[in-house]
Amino acid sequence: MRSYMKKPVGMLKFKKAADVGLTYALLILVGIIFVFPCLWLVLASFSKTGSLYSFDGFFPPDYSLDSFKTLFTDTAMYNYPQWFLNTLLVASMSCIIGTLLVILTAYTISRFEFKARKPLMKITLVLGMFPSFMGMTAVYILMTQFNMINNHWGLILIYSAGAPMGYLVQKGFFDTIPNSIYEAARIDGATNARVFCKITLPLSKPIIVYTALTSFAWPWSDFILPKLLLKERDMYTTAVGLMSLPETEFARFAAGAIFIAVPIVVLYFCLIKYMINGMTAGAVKQ
Amino acid sequence: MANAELKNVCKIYEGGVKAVNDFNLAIDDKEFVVFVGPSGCGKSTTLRMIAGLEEITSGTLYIDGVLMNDVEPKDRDISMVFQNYALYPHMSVYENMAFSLRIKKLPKDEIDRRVKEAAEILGITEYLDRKPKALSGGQRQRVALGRAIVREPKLFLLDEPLSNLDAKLRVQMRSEIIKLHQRLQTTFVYVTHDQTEAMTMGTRIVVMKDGYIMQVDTPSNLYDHPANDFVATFLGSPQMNLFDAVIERAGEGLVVRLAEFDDDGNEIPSEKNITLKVPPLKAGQLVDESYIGKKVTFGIRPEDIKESEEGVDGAIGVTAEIVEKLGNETLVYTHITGRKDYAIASYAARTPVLIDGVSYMRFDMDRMHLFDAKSGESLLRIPEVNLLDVDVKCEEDAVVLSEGRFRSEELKNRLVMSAGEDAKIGLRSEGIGFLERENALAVPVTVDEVIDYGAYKAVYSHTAAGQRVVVKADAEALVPSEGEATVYAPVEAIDIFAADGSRLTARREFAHPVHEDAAVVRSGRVYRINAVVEGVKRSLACRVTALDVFGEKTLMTVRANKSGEVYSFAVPTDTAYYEGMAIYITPPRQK
Amino acid sequence: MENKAVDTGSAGKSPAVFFGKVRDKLRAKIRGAAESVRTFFRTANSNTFASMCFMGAGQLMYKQWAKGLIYLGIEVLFIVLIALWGGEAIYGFFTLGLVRGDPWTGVEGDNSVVMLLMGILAWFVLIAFVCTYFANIKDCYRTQQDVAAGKCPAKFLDEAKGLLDKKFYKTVLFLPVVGVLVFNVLPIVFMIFVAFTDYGGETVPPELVSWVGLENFEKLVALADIADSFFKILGWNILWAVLSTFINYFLGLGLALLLNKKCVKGKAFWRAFPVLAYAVPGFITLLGFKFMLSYGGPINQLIIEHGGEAIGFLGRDAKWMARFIGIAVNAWMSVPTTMLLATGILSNMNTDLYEAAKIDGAGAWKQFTRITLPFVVFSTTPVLISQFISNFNNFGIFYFLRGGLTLDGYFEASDTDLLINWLYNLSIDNNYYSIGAAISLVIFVITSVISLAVYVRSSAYKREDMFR
Repeated sequence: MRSYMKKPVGMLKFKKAADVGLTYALLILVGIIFVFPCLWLVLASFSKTGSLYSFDGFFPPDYSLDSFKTLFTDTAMYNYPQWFLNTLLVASMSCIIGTLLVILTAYTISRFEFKARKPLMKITLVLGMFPSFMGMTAVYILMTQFNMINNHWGLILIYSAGAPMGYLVQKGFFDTIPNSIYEAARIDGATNARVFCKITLPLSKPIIVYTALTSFAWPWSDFILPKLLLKERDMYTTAVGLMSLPETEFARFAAGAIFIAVPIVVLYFCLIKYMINGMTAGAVKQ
Repeated sequence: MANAELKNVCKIYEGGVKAVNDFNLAIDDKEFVVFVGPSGCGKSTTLRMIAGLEEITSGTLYIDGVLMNDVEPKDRDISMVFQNYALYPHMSVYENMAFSLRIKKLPKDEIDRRVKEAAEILGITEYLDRKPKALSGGQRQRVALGRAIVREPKLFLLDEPLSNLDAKLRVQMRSEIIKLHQRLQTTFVYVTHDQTEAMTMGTRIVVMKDGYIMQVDTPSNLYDHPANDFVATFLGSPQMNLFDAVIERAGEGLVVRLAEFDDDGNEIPSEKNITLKVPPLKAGQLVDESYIGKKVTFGIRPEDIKESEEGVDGAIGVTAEIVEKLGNETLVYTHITGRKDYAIASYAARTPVLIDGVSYMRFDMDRMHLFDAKSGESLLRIPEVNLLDVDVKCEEDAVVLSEGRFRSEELKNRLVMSAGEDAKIGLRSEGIGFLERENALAVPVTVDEVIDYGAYKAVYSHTAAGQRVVVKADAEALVPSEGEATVYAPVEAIDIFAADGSRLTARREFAHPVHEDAAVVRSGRVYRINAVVEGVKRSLACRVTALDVFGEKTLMTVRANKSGEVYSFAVPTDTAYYEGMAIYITPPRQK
Repeated sequence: MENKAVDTGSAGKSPAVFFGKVRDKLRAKIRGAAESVRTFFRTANSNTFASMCFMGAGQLMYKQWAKGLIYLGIEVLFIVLIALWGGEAIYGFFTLGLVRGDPWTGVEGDNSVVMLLMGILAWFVLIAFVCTYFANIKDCYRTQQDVAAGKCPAKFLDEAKGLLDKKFYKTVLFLPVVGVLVFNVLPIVFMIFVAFTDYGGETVPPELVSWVGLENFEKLVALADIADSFFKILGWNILWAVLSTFINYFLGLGLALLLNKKCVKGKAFWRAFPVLAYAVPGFITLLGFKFMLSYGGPINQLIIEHGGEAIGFLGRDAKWMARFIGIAVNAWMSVPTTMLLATGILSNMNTDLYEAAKIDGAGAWKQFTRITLPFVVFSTTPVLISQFISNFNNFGIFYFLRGGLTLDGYFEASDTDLLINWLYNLSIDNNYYSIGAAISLVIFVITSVISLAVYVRSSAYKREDMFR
């Protein structure tokens, strides 16, 4: 009897061990897949020679901080520090204005009942179906008319103005706040403006962080609009600037890329909880 | 001091769903009114309309005599407790309670005093610094109550405040809310679906179903004198037993015979006839003798079923199928021998009951109920109108009643349609009384019975011709308990009826001529009457001054805003109309 | 539109019934509107009619001075605007310019494109004015009703305060709506009109652009060069969107499930790798991969070192290899997103279900297919749609990997290009604006039809209604 019992237990144990082993093998594989290209870029940025052709397979033969140095000192051809500042300006301003607009829009659409509510939602849905840069030519002409070519504020204006289109995730979040809280506040005598400041905002930290992060990351890494609207090299954002680097400047590209990726990666890692919360809330309740 | 009055209040949602229909209720100061009914009956919607969270589609709401329809919730001087507490999660208990006071910009020490006082009353002083998350359900509910108290409102509105609590806590909080009501001496309006809460807490209960009020009364009247079978079965657990039955005459009195009917309403002969004697008191209450011989619903509460023995008068043989011993009572689910009917009886605790054997029970007929088989309305209610065969004569400028003993010009003015030879008069039971007064029709009667309902009394009497006159009198009114008396009917309590029972007089004065076939057109919130009216060429802005419903038609009287001219129209009845409503008279375009 | 959408869901089987319903609803609406107009004209008083003649007049007659003056001001402003700019702009919208500029003779010609844009802007202004005009009448009529019901006309200060309370949404939505109108709607409307002109190629200012009707769409399906490329690209585009959406979705879900396993210790650590990939800006990833796979890149170096010949992974002859690489790179970039989303949803899931399933004897696979999958798919249908659309319009991948490559047999495109890349090549790189606009419209029609179909079928849509 006992030996009969033992066998399946042993089998089960073996199965379990195999399962665990397989899981970890898969995880390691996934880890390598995701980390390798990043690691490669990081190592390349420390390469001494710079050109991609001088590499020994994946890895540079010698390491140094030269490419970072040239990145910030050799600004004659490629003015990276300027690009970086440009990007920072555009991204942070668009982030502030865009977040404000999105949060307000989403809150309004989620909370208020007005005649134009459903039509507005449908119109944004339809507008979203148009290819994103279908109107680029028009935007370009418009910006020339407004004299906003080679102007960072033009970019900021476009980014912020387009931000409310993506209000759905935030609306999903606001939908989860029970209506009775708003009603209680109304009975307590709070106006809607006050309700928004005193009740809604403190309750929506996760979604604000999520929104701020995404609306920062988009201009931070976008290249289409800046490429269209910024014609002077010194006005470039990093994305456009790095794209203009040839293969021989690979180390410089890698260094520049690292430099721009690190802040955003750090931000993402710090705020990953908020990200998941925000994303899920928005996705589940449309 | 706070009273509230709802008149003809309706709520119609977009898409035409009617949530509340023609809701009329006057809430007195310091009352504890409970709205109760199954989910979806409109009780919460009504409360939210009082709070101002839902717009009132039509009708009027007054709080302390001030029209509140368009007043913001914050300016209505009310406070509300929500089912899910609706506490602000990011604020401490103290801040939650102080929020409204801060908005009102009260001085700091006043806020502090009020919050601390409320916390003291509710026993939450030690939690003032905590966030709602760190509190239990009961504590959160106390905070929600505290938030309502600190505002010192005229009206407390509570929307199912206890339904998120567990059973034990619910009972505890129930008594605390009652105590709170006694202590604060304010008006409470409380919504619940739980009949126990309603019965234990309310000084008056409003039972609702499908957006209509079923009955408004004190808990004991609701229980003992339900206005219809819905109220009868909704209150009480286990619910009232209902049987199909026929009322029959037996000698001087009446009997109820339990009967079975097929789907078409025809009686199926039963194997076993069960005939129950109706006590004379109950027989006298039968609202209308035309029910005799007709199918009705007979009801008896489980606790009004007693044990009995074979051979005793009124004993019914039954088979007990299930016995539930609840400790304080024993519920017996029985099958009536030889019939299809089942009955639930509630016996005293520890009563031995034989399962699956034949035993006997009898109904306490002093506590019987009778309902209309179709409408479900109680047949043992006070009739609204006492119809009397009195000689009615219409003269040129007045109506003469009882061979010249009473003569009224007003009645003539109120006559909408001409009265025929065989017209009757109707005395409204609520408007007549025994107090002698001028300009009133005096009807000599013999008083049979006085039934005390607490808030009011019903005096049953009959005239010399044997016609019944029921007077509904205030609890304080002096009424004769027996013997000869005179009922005085002031002219406003008198109506004239045609032989077929349709009313011929308007309840209030109106303008001649009545414009027949006027159509009311609604577009958005603008109403207009399409009718040819002399002297009205363009549209004329008016206000509705009186509405009088005659079945499918409503007599609508309006007064022009500028000239003060009064016009009356017969329009199709609609619950959307209310007195004071703005309306235009628009003459049809000449072609 | 909404009713239509819901109805297709329930009564989609019989179109006759469906259209009958739509017709009935439409009729009822028209009847209702006619009734309102009739009622309005029968009951409006002289003040309201005054507002119809001069904006704000009725308000002034009700002694609503501030509001009346604002309306009056708007009317004056509009008349001035039309006189100075709008009339000409709208005229220009129809003609698209009459005088061709000539630098030799010094004639300053008409710029057709600017005229078109200004014309549209003028239409916008006109529509905005008409809306304000009707709002003005409605406002006065409402005041009339209030007065008829015994109230005082609303005070300006109270109405202004209302903008922070009851009408807070108006205050709040003003800026976003204007922004979206100018920077999203206006350009899209402009491009829609461009699709019906001959703007592009040689015909750019100072040449005059003119209206050509449906010619561009005819070219798209009939002109050999363009039509051929169009259908080839369209086919690949659809295949790409479907494949990559499903691959990303299921890989992401699988990864989330893998990380969600009970036996995995240090979940945060393992999750960090995909999050890393998620956080790195897309263009860096793409350029990195491009360098990695280039002729001189590390992979080819390794191959040469081992005696092989360099492979043009993304070169002109790569064909399907480039396509697969595109799908793989896209997966590398997008799987983490799905994973994060699925993680969030899985953590919201009720674990009782699994326990119940276990007791019922369901194995791991059954649990996955019968519980996890339906739950996750159900709650992410809207996301699935938006991912499909973004994949359909995934511009970055091939723009960076193959960077504007054009191949024989394609008109200004390569075999990996999606419609959106082609659109870019045509309109931004080669100035074929009108054809580009026509392609945009085609993309719009395809994506909207697909997503509308999925959206209507998915219960998520109905839930929104229930939720409200």
